[in-house]
Amino acid sequence: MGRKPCCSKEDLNRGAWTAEEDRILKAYIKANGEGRWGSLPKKAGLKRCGKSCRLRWLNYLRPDIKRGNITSEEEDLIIRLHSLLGNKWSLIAGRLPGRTDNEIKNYWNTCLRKKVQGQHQPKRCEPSVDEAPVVVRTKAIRCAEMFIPPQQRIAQNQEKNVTMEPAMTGELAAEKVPNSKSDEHSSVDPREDTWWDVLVGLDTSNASASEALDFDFLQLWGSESPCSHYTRREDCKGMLEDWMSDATLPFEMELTSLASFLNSEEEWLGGEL
Amino acid sequence: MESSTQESPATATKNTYTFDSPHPVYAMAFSSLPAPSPPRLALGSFIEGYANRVDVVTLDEEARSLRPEPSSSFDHPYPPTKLMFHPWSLPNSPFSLLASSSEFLRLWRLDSSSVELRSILGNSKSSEFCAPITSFDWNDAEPRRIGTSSIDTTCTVWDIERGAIETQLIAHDKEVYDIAWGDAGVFASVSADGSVRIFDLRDKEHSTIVYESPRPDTPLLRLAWNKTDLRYMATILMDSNRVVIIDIRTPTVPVAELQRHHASVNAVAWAPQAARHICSAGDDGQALLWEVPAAGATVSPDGIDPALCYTAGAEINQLQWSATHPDWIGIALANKVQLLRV
Repeated sequence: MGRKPCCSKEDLNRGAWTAEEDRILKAYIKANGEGRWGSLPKKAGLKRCGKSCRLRWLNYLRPDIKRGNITSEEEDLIIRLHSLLGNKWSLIAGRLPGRTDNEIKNYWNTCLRKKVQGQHQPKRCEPSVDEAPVVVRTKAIRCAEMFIPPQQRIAQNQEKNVTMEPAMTGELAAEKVPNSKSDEHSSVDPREDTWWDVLVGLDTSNASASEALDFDFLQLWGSESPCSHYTRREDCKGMLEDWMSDATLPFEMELTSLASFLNSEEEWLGGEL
Repeated sequence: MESSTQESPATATKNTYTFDSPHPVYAMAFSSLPAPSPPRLALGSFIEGYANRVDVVTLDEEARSLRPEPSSSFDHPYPPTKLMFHPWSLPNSPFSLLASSSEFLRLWRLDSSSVELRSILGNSKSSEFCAPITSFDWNDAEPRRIGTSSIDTTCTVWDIERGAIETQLIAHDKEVYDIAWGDAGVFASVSADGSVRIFDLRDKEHSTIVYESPRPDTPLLRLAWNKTDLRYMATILMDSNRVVIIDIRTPTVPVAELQRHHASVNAVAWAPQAARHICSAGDDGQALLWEVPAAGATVSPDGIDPALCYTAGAEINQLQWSATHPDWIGIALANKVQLLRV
């Protein structure tokens, strides 16, 4: 398999440890400490493999472990953790102080497994081997390069879009000031107990919001979609008109201040609708 | 374990409730049970290591406190990166379904006396390795679908009724940090590669980049898609005090950058019912409520000011706005969870 056997020597005791061997091992470790398992059996005079000594010490002879008498709380905990973690005994042992993973594993296999089998096990949902999921590689398309289908309605949109864009960039340019004015904040901070004031003027029953909920996503992309196979459907006219109506709000005041900005953003505007 | 802090004993209605958790809290989810049921929160712990917990607390306005439900608390492997209740609630059923993500997506069934692990949804059928899930979103329109995002650059759409993968896409060039559904078959995701990409399940091979962070490769950490007005999305960059608002009709250029936090922003949430209200919270201990201006409205050159502000006193790591109780916002800071009335 993986490793070579640690000791191929014969005349080593195998199987259950006798009380005498336990006593020798315990005394030796008490006197000399743990570790150096390789040379330990020779020094202690034990006819055992170093691996065997270590395991015996860790799982059985250590003074700080509890042996036997798994309490009902511990049993509950083991059952819960096993349903959560599966056969990860060392992780389960991490949650039960004084118990080794070996003991919990033995306890589970002898007593608990039958008990728990009747209960519902969580479904582990994994794709079956035949239908391995096809992982799709996606190609991302940047919106600066847009394919515009040559339709009349789109031509109208084009004009309106050009006027609308500067307003957006205007906002962006204006907001580049990263100031945070803390004195303005103090006027906004309300008292501790009624910290949210009523949102004055909040229009929660927004008519356009409910329209937005109904629209089909493809309709939205119809005029701007970079993918040529997105076709516009006749019934999206109404939605587009609403959208355009937003664009007809007065932007003129923004345009004049943005002439220099527009010139520098040629590449961006050139690819625009 | 719990305490109710009364800021002003004289007021009849309390507007903030605090819950002190024994461990730091990160993931948070509002239950989808509508009024008259009180707001109910599932809280995921953030303990580094394997053993974590999920607790459930309910607002008890008569007792003026956030009451934990001990029978609904359970152990969870690794800190849950996100928690979410099933978006639809069946008012007569006694149980609720909670999804959590860590190294796998898990579905838990909470009923009045116990918690049961319903299913574990994992990719690795053969290998021991699984890519941790950074976030997920439950599709409101089609609740059989949950989309997950992972550090292995993929987004996976699960059909939870069959317990099988519907689609798995290599969505980005780097780790995907958040995912949000827009429509029944459309979702968007953000990644360490700095892009917001929209995917349509009808055309899985193509995605559209709607925004990219100005300095290349600045990761985008969170994405919030406005469920009331699907044109708007909000995203936050790593180590940035700005909230970037994107209008998908005008891609690449943000509609607004909300820049009033004094430190990094950690979470954003759109208002569940108002079209242009958004709340953000960050390391400066503030939760700010903003109104994004309508398309074409004039904006002052200093930027947009928040409409409302709450100072929590410690770094706020999580923010959730209840969809069924839109006057409540939940925030998580260190070991505390606060419920704030809007």
